[in-house]
This record gives sequence, C-alpha cells and structure tokens, in this order.
Amino acid sequence: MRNLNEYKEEIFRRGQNRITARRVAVKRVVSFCIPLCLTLVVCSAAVLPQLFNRNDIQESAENASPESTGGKYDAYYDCSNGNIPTIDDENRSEEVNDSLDESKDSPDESNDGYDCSAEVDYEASADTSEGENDECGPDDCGPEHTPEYVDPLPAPDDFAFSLVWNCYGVSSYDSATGVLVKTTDASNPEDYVTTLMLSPSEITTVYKLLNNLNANEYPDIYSPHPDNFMSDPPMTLILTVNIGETTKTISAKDIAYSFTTSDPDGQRFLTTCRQIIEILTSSEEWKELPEYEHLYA
Amino acid sequence: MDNGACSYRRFLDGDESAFDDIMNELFHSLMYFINRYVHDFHAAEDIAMDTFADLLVHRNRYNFKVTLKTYLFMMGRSRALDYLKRKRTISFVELNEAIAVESDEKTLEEIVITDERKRIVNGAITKLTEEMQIAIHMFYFENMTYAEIARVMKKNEKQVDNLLYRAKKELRAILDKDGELL
Repeated sequence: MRNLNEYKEEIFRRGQNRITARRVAVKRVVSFCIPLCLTLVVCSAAVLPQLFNRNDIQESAENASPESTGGKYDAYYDCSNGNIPTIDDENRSEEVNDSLDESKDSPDESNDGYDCSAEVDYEASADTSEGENDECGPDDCGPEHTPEYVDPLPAPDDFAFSLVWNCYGVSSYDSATGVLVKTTDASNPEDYVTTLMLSPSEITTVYKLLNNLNANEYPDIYSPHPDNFMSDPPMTLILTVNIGETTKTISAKDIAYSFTTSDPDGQRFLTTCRQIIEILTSSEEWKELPEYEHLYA
Repeated sequence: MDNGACSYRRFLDGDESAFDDIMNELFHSLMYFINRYVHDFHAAEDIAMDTFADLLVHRNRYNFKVTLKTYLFMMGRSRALDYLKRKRTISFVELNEAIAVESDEKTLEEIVITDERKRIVNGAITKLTEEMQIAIHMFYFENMTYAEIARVMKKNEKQVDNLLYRAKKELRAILDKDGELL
C-alpha cells in the first residue's frame, strides 16, 4: 500500500490529465461546430430569400384585383369617363360598307343578317362594364374587340330614329321625343301613349342595326316581299333614320304580315325592324301599357 | 467537526496544503468504504483516487450542503457501483498477489479501524448483507449520522433506521454466538 503523498501525486496527475482531455474535447467540438454553423448560416442566407420571394409572388397573385388586368384594354373600354373611341364619317362609312359586304355575301337568317357570332372580350373590360356604363355591356353583339380595333359604331349625339309598325292600330316610337304609342285603335287611345327614353346602350344597338341595314340603299317606298305578296290584315313598317340634318325614311305600307321573306334585302329590312320592335316592346314602359282591346292591334 | 468542509474551503481559496489535510482525513476511510462494495483493494484504491481527482477537477460541484465526507462517500459509492456493473469476468490473481492484497487490506483496516473492539465487529459484519455492512460501517466506523447515511445510500432516514436496527440485531446474534460482546 502506498503512502498518502504517492496517492496525492497520482490524484494530481489524474486531475491534470482530465483537465487536458476536457480541453482537447472542447477544441474538437468547437472545430466541428463552427464550420457547421457557418455552413448553416450561408445556406439559410441563400435559400430563405428565395422562399420569401416566392411567398410574396403568391400573395401578390392572390391579391391581384380584376381591375388590374392590363392597361392595353383600359383606354378603349373605360367608358366610365365617356372616353368612347370615335371615327370620322369617311372611315365610318368605309367600315360600315365593309361590314355590309360581309353580311351580303353570307346572309344568316338566324342572325337576321347581323353577325353576332363574334366573341367579345368582356373580361378585359369587365370592371368598366358593370353598372356604371351600359354601353360596353355584354348585350353588345359586334366585331371581336381587340386592342387594335376601334369600335366605329357608337351612336352619334344627333342620331334619332322612328318606327311605325303593326296593323290597324299601329304602334310607333320616336326616339327624338320618346313618345311610345302602343296602338291607335282603342276606345281611349291616350291610354296607350307613354314616354320611353332608350338607354345609351339601346340607342347604340339600334344605331348599329340601322348602320348594318344601310337605309340609303332602300327606296323610300319599299316592299320587302317579292311580287308584292300580301296578307289580310296587312302590316305597315315605316322606318325613319335621322342623323343630323340627314333623314331617310323607308315606308313599307300594307305589306304582308310576316317578318320572313325570300328576298335578302327584304329579310335584312324586316329583321332590323323586328329587332328594333323587340327592344321597344321589352321595355318596362311598354309592358305597363294596357292590353289591346282588339285582336289585331 | 465539519468533516473536511473547512479544509476544502481553504483549498478553494488557494491553499494547496488544505488538500493534504483533506486526504489525511478522508482518503483511507473512503477507500475502505469503497472496498466494502467492490471487495477489491486495488479497485477500491483506484476508485478512491478517481474520486479525489474529480474533487480536484470539478471544484465547484461541491455546494457545501452536506459534509465533504458525505459528498466523497456519495461519489465513491456511485463509482463503485459503476465499477461493479462494468466488471464482467472474475479476475484470477496469482497466489503471491493475493497474499499481498490481503496484507494491504489488513493494513488499511488497521489504519481506518484503530479500535480493537471495532475490529472485532468488523470481522462479524462480513456475515451480514452488503447493505447492512455499508450501513454499519458508516454509522459505527465512520460516525456518520442517519441523514448522512441516507444521503450516501440514497434512502430515507426511516429506511436507514430499519436497516441499522436489523443489522444490530443480527450482529448481536452473531457476536453472542461467537461469544463476543458488542
């Protein structure tokens, strides 16, 4: 058995060895951890910004409003401030003639000579067409709207029309005065008279129909049915178009009571009149008028 | 008697000679106590030195809530049990070495147990269970309190009380049987 001094020396030697071993272990840990931490920091700095940018892009896409769909459509379809593109008379006539040529070459009975098959890009003008301005609404059936195409058929301010239709107690409407007459054949004809002011979109629609018709090509006295086909009772259609000081009247009196004919020009005329009649008779003002007293109104 | 706490405080303050006082006071007792567990003098010697080396390296672990003797005995017991867990094979010792070990143990016993009567009891407690031997050793030979014994053996004082009661009862029977008086 050793003495205490020997034990003490051994104890101190073991203690020093442990201290040295602990320092070496700490150095090893530090030498391993520091590069590991640096690697993690560098990777985080490289990856995290990309992750945040991706999240920002997704958030901006989710928050994107339909109003910000692109500026190239806004100039043409921002009808809220009255910015309706217009063209002069010469260009208008050329484009109207072009549209008429197309319709003459391929008359479409289902569309009554008017090409309503073209799709209108309403999405580009969705925000401007809702509520505030009906001129650019989905009821418009016209050429495909592209950023390069300018709509040539907005109704001019001095445009007006009048239409007389029906048999016996004829119905009539004058857009200049707004007088709408359901029938003149009644005990109290005054009860069948009201005022109807068409909306700008309806005016534009009628204007487009009449432009497509090209009323100047029709005689003042006109019969849309060939061989003067007649019916009993007959029907009267008197269409008048006013643009400024220019007036054109197509009078088809006592014609057959039918909106179908084999003549293309006649069919176009009858279709145009029928479409205008549908606009007028679908109004609330027309519906509020009393029913006809007689069978043939 | 603070069982080395005052000396250790001096050692922490930088008095290197205080460590000598601690060793003079507690080293052999610790070694003898550890030998109760491992029944191997050299292993007990080695574990005791490791225990004191721990005290030297980790100077701030001892918080003076128990006596230094209790703290050293706690660490010694843990190391002894760890040694017993790691011990897998029965070590075969040459006969010459076995004689030398036995003589060292006797020397250690003589150093720790100075009282002749205690040596007689020490011979008798070998017939008790290990727990009883440890409890008797700490109470009877190291003059430790029930609380300190409980702290070292990781028991409560009531358990230590019961253990000592049974140990004394059996010792009395052994000693009476051997014709010795406690």
